[in-house]
Amino acid sequence: MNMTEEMRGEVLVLRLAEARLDASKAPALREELIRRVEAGHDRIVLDLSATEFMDSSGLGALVSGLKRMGARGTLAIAGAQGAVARLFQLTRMDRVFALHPSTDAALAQFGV
Amino acid sequence: MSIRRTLITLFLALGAALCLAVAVQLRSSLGDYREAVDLARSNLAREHISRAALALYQERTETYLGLLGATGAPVHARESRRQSEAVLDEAARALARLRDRDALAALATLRDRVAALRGRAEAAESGPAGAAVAGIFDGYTAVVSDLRSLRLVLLGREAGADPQTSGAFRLRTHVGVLLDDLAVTRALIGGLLLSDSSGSRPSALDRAWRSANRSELAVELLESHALAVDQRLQGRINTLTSFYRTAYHPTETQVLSRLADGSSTASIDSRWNEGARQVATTAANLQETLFAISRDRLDLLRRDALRIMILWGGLLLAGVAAVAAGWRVVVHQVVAPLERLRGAMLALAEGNLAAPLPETARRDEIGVMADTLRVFKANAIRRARLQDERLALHERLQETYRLLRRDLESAAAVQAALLPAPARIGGVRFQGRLRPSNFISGDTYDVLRQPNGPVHFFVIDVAGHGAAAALVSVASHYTLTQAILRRRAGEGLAETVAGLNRDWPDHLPYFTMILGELDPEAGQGALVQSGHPPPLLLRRGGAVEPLGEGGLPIGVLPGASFDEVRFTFRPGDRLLIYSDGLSEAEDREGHPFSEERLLELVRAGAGLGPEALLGSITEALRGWRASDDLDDDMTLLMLEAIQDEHDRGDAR
Repeated sequence: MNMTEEMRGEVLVLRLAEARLDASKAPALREELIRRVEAGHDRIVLDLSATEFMDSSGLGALVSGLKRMGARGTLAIAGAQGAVARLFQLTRMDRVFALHPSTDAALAQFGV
Repeated sequence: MSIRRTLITLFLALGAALCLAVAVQLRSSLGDYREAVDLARSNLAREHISRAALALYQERTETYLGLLGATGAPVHARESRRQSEAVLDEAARALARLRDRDALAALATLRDRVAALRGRAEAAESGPAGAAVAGIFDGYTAVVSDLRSLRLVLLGREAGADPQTSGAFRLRTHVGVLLDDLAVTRALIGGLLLSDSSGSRPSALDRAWRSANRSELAVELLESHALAVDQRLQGRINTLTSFYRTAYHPTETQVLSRLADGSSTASIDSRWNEGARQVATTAANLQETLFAISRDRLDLLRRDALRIMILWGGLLLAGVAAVAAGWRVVVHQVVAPLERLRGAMLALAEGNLAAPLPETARRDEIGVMADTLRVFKANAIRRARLQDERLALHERLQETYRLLRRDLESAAAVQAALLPAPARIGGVRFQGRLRPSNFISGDTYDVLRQPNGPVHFFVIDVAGHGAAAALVSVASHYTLTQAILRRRAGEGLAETVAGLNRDWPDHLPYFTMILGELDPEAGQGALVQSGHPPPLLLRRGGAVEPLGEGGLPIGVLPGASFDEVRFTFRPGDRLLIYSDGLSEAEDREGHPFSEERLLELVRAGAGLGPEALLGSITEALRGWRASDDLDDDMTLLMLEAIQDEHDRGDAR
């Protein structure tokens, strides 16, 4: 799983460096997200601007992370575009996840 | 050429050269030894001949004096004959050892002549002596002279005697001459003293003078040649010459002078006899000493030659032994171990891992090679074992794969049995296609109705694929079927879906779906799009429109609400539902098949019947993928409102 992370204030920013988020990568992303949520991070921005394709497995991984977060905090998605953005719309996930055009925009939302 | 053959050739060549060189030397030394042996034998023969000559001088003197009437002479003569016979026998044996037939024959002739002389002497003893006496004396003298010639012939055959030996030989010749002359002088003077009035007196006296002079010359020669010889000899020569000059020669001269002038010799007779006996004995002793010196010298030379020959012989044996021992060492230490190693290597190379390796405790090159070979063998055995294990593992994997595949195929058959065959139901004709990406599928679909109720349909796509997705798809298939059959009249589709979503177990994967109902008689249809791609509505007139604007999948948010999409659905209208396995199927460059391409395909095939249209879509997908394989399960379901009863079998 190619992913970088940094702390911006109290917000954990994860940047996914995978062009495709499919069944081969989804389990690893799911693990990463759950591990961070369980480590106590309650404000996470996942930057998907480098990702060009995501299938239902990838979306499932995001849903798992979101479910684990529950009402404790927020898992925001930044930079979703193209097929990835369309999948969010098709599945109406744009109503479930907080979607932002960029990481900066997401951070602004968090007040950072 | 093998190492063994190279070494054999090398060893044989070296050994042969060595042995040849030594053998040549051995042969040469053998020749030297034989020569030394011959020299010694020849010397011994000459020694005996010289003694024989001395004995014959004695016999001549005794016989001569006996015939002249000397007192006791016949007894002396017989005694001296016996002695000469013994010495002559000795000489004959020595010549026989020398294997000199000519000399032996000559000696035999001489002995015959001596025997004849003795016969004449015996005849003369019994009769009147007279002139026969001088003849017998001369006969003996001739025999002795021939005997000395025989000795010189033998001496002449000896070539290359060393200076010391030849010096002794020369002295022996002079002593021989001296002994002869002393004997002649003694005999003649003895005879003259016996017979004062003999007729042969003047010639006998003359001969006595001559022989006396010759003996003096012989003594001078002895003195002149005696310088280069050893002390022992020098002493004896000095004794002889001094006695000769001081005692014998003056007396001799005196006797001869008195015999010549006829005066009385009575006063010096006995002195003369004694002197003559003593000088003869001294000369004979000198001769024996010379014999001894020659014998010792030649024996020394013979022993030297023998020692050299034995030395070369020993060297030859040692050389042969060294070559043999060297060869044995090379064979045992190098050739044989190398051949054993070679055999073991060949066996290993042929894959015979059971072949035994040569055992050695050596620490040299052979030992290192053997150790290395042992490592090679261990490696080869380990490799073979690993290979066997890999093969066995591979076999197990194959078997496991076969079992899994059979399982999957059985499961796929069961799953396929859940899918409805193309049929007509409640004014709706439908036909579906489902292609799993790998035997079993996360996709599923069905078309069914409650008794006298509207026709329901659903298409499900469980997130992910594989066995878990396939099992969940079966579960969701069952759940949806149950939900449809239990729908209460008047319950909205969105409400049904929301119930499904609420009841979906939290830990199971979510799924997308289209759930819809069709009522061709009323010309109406409705559906809920739950995360699934929008279905396409194909109007009878050829227009194509996607339905719905998306919706949450089932199992993401328990409390989610859903939207119902309503549309008109009159006879001739068709509804095409597909899973994202179609729209997202990628070509080799990674481009998705896409909804746009599907839309174009459907518009272009608006005039085709369901079978042909579905066929054209799967064909286009195969062309897009350039393969029969799919990365994701792909489902197509087409439902059509039947126009009238006559259209039932229409394959438009």
